[in-house]
Amino acid sequence: MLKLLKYEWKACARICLPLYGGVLLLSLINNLMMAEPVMDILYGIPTMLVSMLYFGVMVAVSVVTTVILIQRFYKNLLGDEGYLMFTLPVTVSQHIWSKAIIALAMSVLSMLSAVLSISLMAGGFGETFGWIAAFFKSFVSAFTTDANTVLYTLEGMIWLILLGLASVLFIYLCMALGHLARKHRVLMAVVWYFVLTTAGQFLFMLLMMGVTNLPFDNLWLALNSMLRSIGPAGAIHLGMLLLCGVTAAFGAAFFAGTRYILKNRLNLE
Amino acid sequence: MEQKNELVVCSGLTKVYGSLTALDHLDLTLERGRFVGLLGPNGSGKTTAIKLLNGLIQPTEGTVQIDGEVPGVHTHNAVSYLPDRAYLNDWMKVCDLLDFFSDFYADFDKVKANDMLAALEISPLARLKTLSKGTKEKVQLILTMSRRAQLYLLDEPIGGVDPAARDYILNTILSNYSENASVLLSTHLIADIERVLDEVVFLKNGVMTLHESVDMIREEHGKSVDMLFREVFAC
Repeated sequence: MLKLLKYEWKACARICLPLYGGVLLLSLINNLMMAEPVMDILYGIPTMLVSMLYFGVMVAVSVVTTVILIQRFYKNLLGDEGYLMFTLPVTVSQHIWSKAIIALAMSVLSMLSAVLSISLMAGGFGETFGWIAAFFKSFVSAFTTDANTVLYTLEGMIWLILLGLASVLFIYLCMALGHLARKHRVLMAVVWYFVLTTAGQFLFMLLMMGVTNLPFDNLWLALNSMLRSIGPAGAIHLGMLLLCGVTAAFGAAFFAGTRYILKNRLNLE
Repeated sequence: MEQKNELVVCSGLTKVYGSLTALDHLDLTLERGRFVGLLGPNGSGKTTAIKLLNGLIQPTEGTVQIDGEVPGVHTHNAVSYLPDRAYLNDWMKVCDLLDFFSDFYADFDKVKANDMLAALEISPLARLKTLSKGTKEKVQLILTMSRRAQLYLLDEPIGGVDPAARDYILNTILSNYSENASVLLSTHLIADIERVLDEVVFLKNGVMTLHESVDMIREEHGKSVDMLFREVFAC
């Protein structure tokens, strides 16, 4: 497993890390350029330009990261490289985990680099380090004063990680489902993506309508009194844990589906 | 524990693609320590059979077992496979690939691999992308034959390389597999490999038409495998 992670990391890092580094460097150069007095005359334009660049950078980094995430799974497992990967003495689960974990790590790095680059572009080195320091300081002070804040942060972070993993696994599932078709497998993967997301939204809507319309008065009352008894902080914790649980359940289902197809229905061209 | 002598057992193995039956109820048992030629014209089901043995495609019907197990982690450890296509990450260097193989396969012999690279004058520092098609095939073959596996599944290993390298490769294959191991080699270049074969399997339109030892063919038919092949598959 560790070896798979190592090679997956190498394969992604060789494209992603230079990109993220480049983005950071570019934003720093931008920042220096804008410090020139010439730009002061055109006051207003630079800020607009910077905000447009923010957006562009965000989009570019996330698009490239997503493309690499998809390409690594598709080419490395379902393309010709699958001939190597699927004859290695490792399990299908290990393949999926190693891909998903590295994809998640790359997404986190891409977001970090986007945030840092925006900050560098807007404020330069000094300010960037200023707010990072302030952020950690406030985190530490919150830690010492209110344990709940720390718990919220932790729960939020766990949820984000679960959400990231579930999203990656969902994309994998779509590609695996597309692989079931004999022809036009890429197209079918896209079709599955839209079918599943639309179906999901529809079901969610139905569920919401059902929940609000059905005579669940007693249930609501019980829920209400329970929430009162645990207090607002407890209610938030409960909500976060529920959210984490549901996300994890979806992720597990996506994982199981992908694993089943790759294990029992694999048909490499 | 004593090893059973049966290494590969296929029973009723069938693969259907839409309206095409690529492999039709193949019943085949291969024993240990044999060099077997899987022979047939293009599109006769050779690659399909080898892919089924590797678990890269799933049978429509029938079963396949290698060393007593269906394709999976155990058989991947036992089988060294050379596909009929470029399947390696071409941004990797040759030495990276050696590391990759020795990381995943406990039976990979890096010293042997480096010796073979040197003999064929391939630099370990070369990136796969920069190598010619024939050289890439040589690298793939070196990686495959540097394992001490129980079964070598070689899909068209000599198709793309020059005749001089062909001899070296055949000798490499012959000198590199142990007594208990078997080789199943698919090709349509029969004359080149005839001298090394113990037995042959003829495939025609997905159906096995012959499975016999080379000695028997020479005795019974009084002709070489190459001649018999030309006769059986005459257009």
